[in-house]
Parts: sequence; structure tokens; C-alpha cells
Amino acid sequence: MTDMIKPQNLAAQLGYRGRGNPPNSHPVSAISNCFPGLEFDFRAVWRRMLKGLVLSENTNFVVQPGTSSEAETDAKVSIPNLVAEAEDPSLDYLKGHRLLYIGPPRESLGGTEKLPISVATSGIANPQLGTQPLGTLANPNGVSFMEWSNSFARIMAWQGQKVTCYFTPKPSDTEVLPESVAAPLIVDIELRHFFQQTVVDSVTVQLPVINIELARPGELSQGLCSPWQNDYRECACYYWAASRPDYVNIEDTATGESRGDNWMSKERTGEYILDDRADQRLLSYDDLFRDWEGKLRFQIDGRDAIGIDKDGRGIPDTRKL
Amino acid sequence: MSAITASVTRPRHPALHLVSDADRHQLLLADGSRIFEIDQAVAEAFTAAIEQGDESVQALLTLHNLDMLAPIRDGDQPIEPPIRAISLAVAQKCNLGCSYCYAKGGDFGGPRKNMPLDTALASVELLLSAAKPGERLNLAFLGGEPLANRAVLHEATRQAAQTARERGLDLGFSITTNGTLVTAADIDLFETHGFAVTVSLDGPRDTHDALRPFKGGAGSFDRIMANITPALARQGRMQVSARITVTPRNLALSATLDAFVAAGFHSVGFSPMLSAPDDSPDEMAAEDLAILLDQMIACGAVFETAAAAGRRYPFANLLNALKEIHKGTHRPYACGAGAGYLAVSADGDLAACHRFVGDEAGAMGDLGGGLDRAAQAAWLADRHVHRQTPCRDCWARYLCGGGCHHEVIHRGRPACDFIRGWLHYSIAAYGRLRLTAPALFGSAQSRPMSAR
Repeated sequence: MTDMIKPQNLAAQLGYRGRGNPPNSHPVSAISNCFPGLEFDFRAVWRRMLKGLVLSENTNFVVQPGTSSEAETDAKVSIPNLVAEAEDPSLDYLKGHRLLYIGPPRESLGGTEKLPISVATSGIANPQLGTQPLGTLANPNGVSFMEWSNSFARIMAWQGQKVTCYFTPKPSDTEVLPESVAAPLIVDIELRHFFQQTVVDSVTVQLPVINIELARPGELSQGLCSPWQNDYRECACYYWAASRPDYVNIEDTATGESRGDNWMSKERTGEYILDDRADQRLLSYDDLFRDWEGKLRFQIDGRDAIGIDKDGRGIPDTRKL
Repeated sequence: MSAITASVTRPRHPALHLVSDADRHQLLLADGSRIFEIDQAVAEAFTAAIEQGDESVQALLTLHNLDMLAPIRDGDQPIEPPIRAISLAVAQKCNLGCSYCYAKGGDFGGPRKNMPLDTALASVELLLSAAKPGERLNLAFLGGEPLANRAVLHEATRQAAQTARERGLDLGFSITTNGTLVTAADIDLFETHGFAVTVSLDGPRDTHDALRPFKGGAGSFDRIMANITPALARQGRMQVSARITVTPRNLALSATLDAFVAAGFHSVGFSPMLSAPDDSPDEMAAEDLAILLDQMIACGAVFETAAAAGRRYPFANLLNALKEIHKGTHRPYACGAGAGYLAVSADGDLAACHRFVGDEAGAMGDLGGGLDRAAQAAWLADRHVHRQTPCRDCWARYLCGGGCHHEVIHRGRPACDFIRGWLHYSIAAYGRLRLTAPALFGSAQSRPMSAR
């Protein structure tokens, strides 16, 4: 029998963390989503911030210039405003280039005010080596992109104006650091308004909605990890559902090792199955979408509850280990 | 005698206290007023650790993950706290002659006087001027007997309510009265403005009349009950409560409580007379306080039975204690006196609270020159419970806050065993009532324990 410590009053309930619970099981120390309910991710508007271009939403890569065919697609689904918004085929030559800096409109350009879109990543990969550039095979230059919401905040003042954009001179398969490009291509492109504008009595006013030109249906939410049941399998970044049990029903063995189950295993065999979404012995995404509350089990003192009582509480397994 | 004796409740370790009854053990951690139910084995381990010393206690707290609770940072005194409540000594005179009165017959030992209207309105402005829309404030009328200055009380109330409405402030009103002067017009005013009305009554007729006679010696009980019976019947927005000052002469609490609950008071509360002026025979001695504790616990038992049966039994002391214990109130001061609460004398002097009117020990400037922030800072530094020598090692320090400043400054701390005994009982009752009357603790947002 374990010692019993049960928080009683509100102050105790708020502050106490049961033995074995990780720090992130507590509201004050949990890393939580900053968008309650994960309705949308406004950072996705970066894709279409520069009129006439479509960027990859998480890098500076020019996916495509806007083309008339895109406008045709829009016409078929009858999205007002967007139909009229023909993108700029004259920017076709930028496809595959990378955006390096955004500067203020040309007439106010002071020479040094351009803001880099990315920075070098450095850090400690090995305690012996100290700080050094952190590159990978896919990203040999170790380029990190700014938090898009912060980057956007820096250029808000230039909305509706043509800003000075600096691109790599040639298409580039790899990410490059802005300062490594000696002679960038400089192009003036209009920065769209973040909020929808409308004209009332010949005065332009701002509506409290995101500019419809900035996102097509689905784009504001397509980067989110929904449906939320995904998070039981995904989300290693300590979103709430990742604060989940892993190794359960643990028993010591005569050799000093332990045996136990993966919480996600369909059968309790005492043999831990390494997580692999393709492994049929583990719950699949589909299992979780359909019946997470039926498939997953309460854990009490590290063991599967053997049932649920009439009040919905798990019944502990009190059999001797 | 109750089993809750001074030897059970004496401070053994500054960090914690154990409360056990026949069915359960509870552990109070002083910091943050956090309460845990524990089993017999854990309770025994803590008892042993306390005997062994601090190192053992710390090891046990670590073992049970109780050392990771975030400490409450309360060491600093508040800097220029905003004023949330003001009381007006609207009449420094009284028609009763209670032997134990801190105001010495109502006049605080000086000439009898009324507060002029402009002083009352300047006080109201001091309260309202710094507040932001939506903030909750309270304006209290005390004395002496505040209704001895009825015209100013009525007019100040009306103007304060009007100004508060215009500025979007949530202003509440309260009055403490001896009840002898209450009229139908007063009841109208109290109901219109949702007053919290506290009537001082010290027991059934004979007991009350012995303790709270008119200055001429005649009994006041019948007059008071005749005056306030219409108010008891009319409690809609207003709430009418009874407050009993307990002296060695009125220690039969249960009968008093039952009588006043039956009379329809919104709540009934007891407060021991710890610091009477000069050599009044009515100060409570240690043996009186022991009897009082037993009486309070007896009243608590009736409350527990009623609550378990779903019946309302408005024993204010226990309702308040349960509310604070359930929340986990952690207070480094006994009350807001000299911080968010100030009193104004009839002459416009500011004091730490209504008991310090005319008393240098709690002087805080005046309406003309404004709040004396230096005096306030010195008061707050001095009154912090960490500065109180017997308190810093006591498990009850953050529930008690160090005791009434007025009583402590003028008499010391004669009631620590009583306060600890009452808190010990209340924590035990909390443990029982969580099971037998969970509706009392419905949710943090709702106010299920308010007496209505």
C-alpha cells in the first residue's frame, strides 16, 4: 500500500504534483498552446504577404508566382474578391529563388534598414567543440527562419506599400544565409494589408478580419496538428496530450531489468513495443480518432485501471505484483 | 471539555501542523495554507519527524513531493496599497454605556462629536477618487453609534452611491449599529443601498441588558429587537447580522446562537473581548477563552449536523473559517487595517482602523494633508506577521495573520491558544464536511458558503 497524500483545499489542489507526474502536468509549468482551441494559425499568411508571390509557408522559398491559372481556379469556386485579384505573371522569373531581406519602400530606403528573413543557427553539438554553426545534410548552411509573427510585426508599418525585396540571384535548392549573398536581386513588391480593407462613404476603413487575399480556404488551419486526437501519437513538443503515459504496468524481474507495456499497445504482453505508427500491435491514428476514450486506459499508480466505477473513476488494480 | 486542548494545538514545527480525528488525518502546510488528507502511516511518520527535528521533517516533505510546492512570496510589505475600504466615525458618541467599549462609551475618551457632511464627503472622495471602473469598494459607518448622526449618514450614502454609479465603481455599504436608534427610514436606506448591517447584541435579554445598558442603566434589548424586527423581515438587498462580543459574563454561546438564528439574522458571529479599556472586568482571561473554545466547538457541532442534513445554520465564525480554509487563504497581516482599509474620525483624521480613531498608535495623516504614506509604510513594516516574535514559529501564522492589531498593541496576544484551537477544530470540521456536506464547497467561483 502506498502512502496516501491527497490534496484537499483549493490551494493544495492547485499547487501539488503527485509523485511521478512530470512538471508539465501542472498548469503553471506546462507548455501550452498559445491559440486556445487551435482554431487557426495566422502565421500562414506569410505565404501570400507579397502580392504576386507564393512562398513556402515555413521558409523563404518562392514556390510560384501568382499565375492566371490560379485566378481561374478561384473563379470556379466563386470566392469574392479573390477572383478579381489577378496575381502578377511578370514575377514568374523568381520561381525557385529565396527571399533574403525585406526593406522599407525604395523612397525611404536608408541603405542599412533591410531586415533579414533568416539567421545562422549555432549551438553546441558536442561539449568538446563549443559553439559552432549547426548545419544538417538538408540545410548545410544552418539557416533558421524568424518566427513569422515577429517578422510580420517588424514590417507592419509598410502595409499597402511596395517594399524592397532581396532575393538570391539564382534559384537555390538549399537555404542560404542573407549575408552570404554578395549581389542579391532587388525587386519592389507590394506588401498586402494584414486586415481586410473596405470603403465606407469614400473612406477606407479596416475590418477586424484577416485580409481575404492572404489565405485561401483551409490555409489558415492546414498547418495545425488536427484532429487533436493526433496528439496522442504525435506532438513530442509537450503539448498537453503529449503529457501521456508511456511505459506502464512495470514489474521488476530477477535479472534487475524491468518488463512492462507501451501504453499504446493493443495487447498487454509485458513486452515493450517501440513506437512505430505502422506497427499493427499499437493503436493507430484511426483507432484514436474513432474511439480514443475506449481504447486508452486510465493509469493508477503506473498500472492499468481494471475498469471504471459508476462515477467514471478508474478502478485500481490492487493485485500484488 | 473538548479534546482540542492547547497541548494538541501548540506549535511543534513552523512549517506544518497535523489535525487528526477518529476518521482521518490532515496535514496543514503553513506556507500557502495547503491542506492534505494523509493516511495513518504518513501521519505517524510526520509526528516522529517533528520529534526528530527539522532535517527529518524536510526529508519527509521531499519524500512526499511536498517540497516542490511553489513558496508564497509574502516577505515584502505592500507598497502604497490602494484604498479599498473606509469607515467613517460618523458619530463619536453613543447612547449605550457598555463597560468594555474600545471607544470608551462612544467618544473615544474625548468630547462627543458628530462628523460634518463635508468631512464625510471628502472621505468618500478619498475612497472613490483613486479607484478604477469595476473595482469593489466598501464604505462603512461606525461610531460611537453612527445613527446618532443620521442626516450625514443618509446624505453621504446617497451621494457616494450616485458618484460610484457615475464612475462605474462597485461600492458596497456597511454599518455597525447598536440598534437602539434604527427607524423605518433607516431600513429603507439600508435596503435601497444593499447595506451589510451588523447589530451588536450580546445575548438573550437579561444577558444583553447587563452588558449593553443605556447610559442611564436601563436595558436596551427590547428596544433593539422592536427596531430591527422589520429589518429582519425585509432582507432583500440588505443583510442583517448579529455580532456578539463575548465576555466572561455571556459565555453560553449555543443558546444565543440558536435564539438569533431563529430570529432571522442573516448570520451570527462571536468575538471575544480581548482588550477593554482600563480595568474593565469584561476582558477574557485564559480560562474564559478555554470555555469559549469549547462553546464555539459545540456550536460547530450543531452546524456540522445541520450542514450534513442540507439545512442552513448561519454560524458566521465557522462559515468564514471554512471559506478561508477551503480557499487556502495565506495572509501576512491579520486584516487590511492601515493598508487597503482606513478609518476617518469625526474631525477628519485618518487612522489604521475604526479602533484606532483618536489613538496615536494608528495615526495615518488627515483628510486635509492626505494619507501619511510614511506612517503607513512604517505601520506595514512593523505589523507584518514575520516581525511578530511569537508568530514566526507558529503553524497558524498565515491563517491568523498575527491577531487584531489593536488588541495586540494594547494587550499583547492572550488568545493564541484559543485561535489555534479554533483553527484546528475548523480544519478537522473541513475534512468531515467535505464528505458530509460537499455542497458547501461547490466551486471556487460560486459563493456557496455565503449565508443566503
